[in-house]
Amino acid sequence: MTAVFSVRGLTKQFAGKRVVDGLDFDVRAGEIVALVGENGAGKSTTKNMLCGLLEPSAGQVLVDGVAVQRIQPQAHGVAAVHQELSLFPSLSVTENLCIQALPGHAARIDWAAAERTACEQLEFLGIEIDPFAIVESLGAGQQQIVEIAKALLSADRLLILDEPTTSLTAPEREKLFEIMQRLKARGVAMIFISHFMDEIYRVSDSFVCLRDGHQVGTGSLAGVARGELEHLMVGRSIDETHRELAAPTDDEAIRLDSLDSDDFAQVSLRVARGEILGIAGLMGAGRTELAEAIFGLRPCRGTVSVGGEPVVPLNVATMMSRGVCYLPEDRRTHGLFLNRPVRENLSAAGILRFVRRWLPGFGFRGERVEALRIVERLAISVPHVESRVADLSGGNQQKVLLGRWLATEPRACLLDEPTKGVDIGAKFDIHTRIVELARAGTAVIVVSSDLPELLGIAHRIAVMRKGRIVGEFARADFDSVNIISLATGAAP
Amino acid sequence: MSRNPLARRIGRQKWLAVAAATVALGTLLSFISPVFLTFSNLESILIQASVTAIMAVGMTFIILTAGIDISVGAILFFTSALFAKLMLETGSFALAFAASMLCATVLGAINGLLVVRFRLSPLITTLATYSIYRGMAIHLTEAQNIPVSRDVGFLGNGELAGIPVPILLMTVVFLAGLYALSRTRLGVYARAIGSSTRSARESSLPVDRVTVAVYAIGGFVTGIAALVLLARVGGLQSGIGIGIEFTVIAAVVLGGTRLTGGSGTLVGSVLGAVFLVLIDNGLNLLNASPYLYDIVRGGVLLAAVIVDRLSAHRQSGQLLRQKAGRLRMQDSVSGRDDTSALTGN
Amino acid sequence: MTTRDDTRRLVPPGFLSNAGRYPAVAIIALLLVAFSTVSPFFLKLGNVEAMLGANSVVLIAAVGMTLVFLTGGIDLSIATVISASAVIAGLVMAATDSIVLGVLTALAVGAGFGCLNGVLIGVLGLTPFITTMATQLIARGVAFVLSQGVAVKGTPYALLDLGFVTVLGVPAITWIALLVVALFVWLLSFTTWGRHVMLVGSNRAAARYSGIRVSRVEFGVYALSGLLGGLAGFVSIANLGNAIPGVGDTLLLIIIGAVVLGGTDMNGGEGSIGRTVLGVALLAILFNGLNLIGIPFYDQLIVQGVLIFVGTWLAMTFGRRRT
Repeated sequence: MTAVFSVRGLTKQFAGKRVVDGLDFDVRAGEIVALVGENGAGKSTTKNMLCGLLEPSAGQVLVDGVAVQRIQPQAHGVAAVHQELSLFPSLSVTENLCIQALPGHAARIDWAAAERTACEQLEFLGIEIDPFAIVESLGAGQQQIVEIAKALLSADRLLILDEPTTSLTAPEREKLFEIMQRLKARGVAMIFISHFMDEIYRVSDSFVCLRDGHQVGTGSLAGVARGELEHLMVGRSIDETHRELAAPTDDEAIRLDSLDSDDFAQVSLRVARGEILGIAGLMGAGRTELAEAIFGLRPCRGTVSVGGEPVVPLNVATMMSRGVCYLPEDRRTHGLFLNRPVRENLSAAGILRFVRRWLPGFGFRGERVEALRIVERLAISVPHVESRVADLSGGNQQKVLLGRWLATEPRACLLDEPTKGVDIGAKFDIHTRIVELARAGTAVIVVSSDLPELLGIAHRIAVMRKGRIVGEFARADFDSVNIISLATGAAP
Repeated sequence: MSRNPLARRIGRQKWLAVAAATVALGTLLSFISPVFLTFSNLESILIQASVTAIMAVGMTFIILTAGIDISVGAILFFTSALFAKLMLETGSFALAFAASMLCATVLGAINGLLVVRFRLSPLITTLATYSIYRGMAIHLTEAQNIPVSRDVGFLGNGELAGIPVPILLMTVVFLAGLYALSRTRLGVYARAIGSSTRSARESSLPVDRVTVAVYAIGGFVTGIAALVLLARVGGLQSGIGIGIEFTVIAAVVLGGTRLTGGSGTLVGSVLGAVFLVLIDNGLNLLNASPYLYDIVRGGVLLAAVIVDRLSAHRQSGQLLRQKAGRLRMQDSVSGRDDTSALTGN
Repeated sequence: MTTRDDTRRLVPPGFLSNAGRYPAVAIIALLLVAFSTVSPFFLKLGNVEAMLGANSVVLIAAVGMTLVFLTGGIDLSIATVISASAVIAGLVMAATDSIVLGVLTALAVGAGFGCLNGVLIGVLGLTPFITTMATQLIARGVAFVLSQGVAVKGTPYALLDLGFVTVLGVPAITWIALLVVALFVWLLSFTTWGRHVMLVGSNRAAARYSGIRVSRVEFGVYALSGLLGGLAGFVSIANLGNAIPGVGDTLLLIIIGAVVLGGTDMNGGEGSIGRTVLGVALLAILFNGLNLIGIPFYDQLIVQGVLIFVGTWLAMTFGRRRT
């Protein structure tokens, strides 16, 4: 079969950094190619180039053997379902499905025809969603299905699915796979991006594996064992992140008793002082929601105890007063004050400490000195403490965020993806701080999608899937294959 | 929108509240005063509401795209000024009419172009143009009042087939707007842009063109409203149109249109305009001081916004519960993720 | 790279680029030169005094608006709150002949509206635009109902005198405005609450995640904005001689324009009272100058609109440093 879409030497650069470097693979008609790799490996960028949102910096994209400057989705019959849905919440399903190609002539939309198209499409796909329902009233899974249906309307030749099953229920997922098989029979090529090994092995014919922007493997999936594929994805030796840890104490620092909410169920955990507990799992498993709930940012049922005492009421103020801190996953939207100076970002959580005791309201004594001290300790690279945080690199920004919370001298830390989007050097530094923290007696919970990171610095790892803790591993029993299996839901 | 009864039901909900409120207030007023339910009073109410209602149709389109135009009062003023001046100097109704309508549309379009080109918030953009257009208008009239001749008055006082012209114009504008909103691409795109501008761009919708268009439409209907008002008042006075932008926005918001965009109805906006007039009418019947109108209007607006907020809380609670239900459901299907049975290797 | 501690340097680094954030300074200098060249009256003491006096009301209200802008909100009601406070204070003073009671009344009325806004926006979470639009209407209604649409007479003579008094060449009411400025500069730069205002405006979610009580901060800015509106209303009586119910109507645009031209970002987290002072000064000098050279008020409106637009655009393009 001649290749339908090919890439040769595909490269993309952002501000001098090669996010994707020299990719070389084909996608044939009726073939399902799994695009695998860790977070940050370059899958999103590759996907964006293949669906026309980005232009390559170097290399070629070929359609039927002919090189194109940039993919034109409508013309080339390409459609993509992105992780962030591209729907119109206040419009109906029919309107969402048909809006890019509304039937009828210039002055009048033929709604009858549009409704017919929508109903036909939903029927053909066997989806039971009311075509007149307003999208924002649908559940996340149903919205994802609408997005898929929309993409299918315009994808004749290539359909790209980016983590399409994160919000789907089991029956919905089955439906999706069934649809994919039908498309396959029709000769539509598909690129399937997923973290779930089960799904990958179930639907895909071949794979392309990315690591740090490079292509480290490609070919038919037949004959490639799962462990091999996982190894290809993760790649670097565990030793690089491995740290010597001090033994934790016996004092309980944080205890969760049957925490329950809309996003997670029956979560019970204990973390001792000086212990680092890693929480592994896939996106959508509810880890961030759990961390936010522990810190009091989200309502939940159940009890959170700090130092043996239940925290009542559970809110940010009381948790902070008990010495707990939380480093959010998305530092730009939830963590940093981008247009404020580094100094203010560092003191944001504990500004009261700098208020002069006998002369409140006369500035913040020692704030600048303290800022300099933190900058020094965490090796934050910034020309001046008055510089705006927005000007810093990702790694330095993360250090600022970390510095803010460390300055409060917490008894317990909740860190959500502490090294996401951070360069190697900063990552090393942050790991060092975390280990030091634990050594000094702080309890640390680290939520991370980076398994080698957890394997390297955690005393214990708890695995979450679909809102539940499905397993716990002590350091001596760390086994990446087992952990990944539990996280993705294969048989143990 | 569509012929499906379900969709109609959903669409209705947005303006249901203001419709109910209008009916309730009307009923109340009919008890308070015997003259309320007379034909001439009801007709008078509709005539009074017509200026606001016409402008509200245009404003609804703008707000649907998550924009806003607080310069409409100044556009109104400018249009009236231009018309009055041209009538005075040339005596040609056709010329004055054409010129002022064109100007109104162009001023609106300029607002749209500024928003699109410079990407400042519509609020600050139209705040600036409010000042500019107002200055231009007063400059045109040299701060004088200009009377308008009798024969122009038919726009505001005349009748066509027994129906007062303002009501006729209001109906025409409303129906045209309804068609545009429900049957043209402009209508769908406008709602889409307000619903999610990011998705609109990703779906390659003509965001910029539609944005300019809705502001132009706003200007156009403001032109019509300006002429009606001018005719009714009998001449151009310096205070014409002051504060009308807030009345129009209030009518649109009361009608159930969200300021955040993407959701709203024309029926609601027109009913909102009528409702506001009913309030004035009621206060008038009670012989209340005319200055009380503002207080009551402000209070009603606040009440409507608060109620809307509380009901939005309730709705988001429902959505969360749906999600939780599914989490539970998955547990019951099988103890774990069911693809375990299908793991191949 | 090591980080420098530049506390000992006289001029902090980046002074020149900082100056870029204050375009108002350059424009003011330009205007001063231009107008004094064109009109011989411009720099006369009487003119300067009149200019200062008239703009004290605007300055006080603009401080309040700055606070609100800093949290990313807007207060459309401030202008009519000025009117309402003036009217009610005027009535109280006419009845009691007590300036003290007048001040307290004005502050109370302003604070009342401010707290209403604060509760609705800060606690209930309503949108600032529509909420303050509604309270604007209410305040306007109050002003006109209580005054029956006419100026409230009976201002105590002492207060009338205050409108003419100058200290060191500067009108007394301007000293009041400057005092307010000093107070709020202190509040914003040296207190915890002030710091929280900047952080909330910079990133509301991050402020919440850092343990800052966002609803309290927002309540506070609207309450203070109302309070300052009340004070401005009282000062307007001293300035004009009577409490006029429509006094605030035309001020909204000028107040917003002044704050925006000074360089405070409407999105929040960027700006200062100092910049607002520059903005008020700029508009004051501009309109005074235009008056003197005979530009009619309606053309001044055009200039005002263009200036607001251009100023905001400049601030947006050059104000925030690109990442």
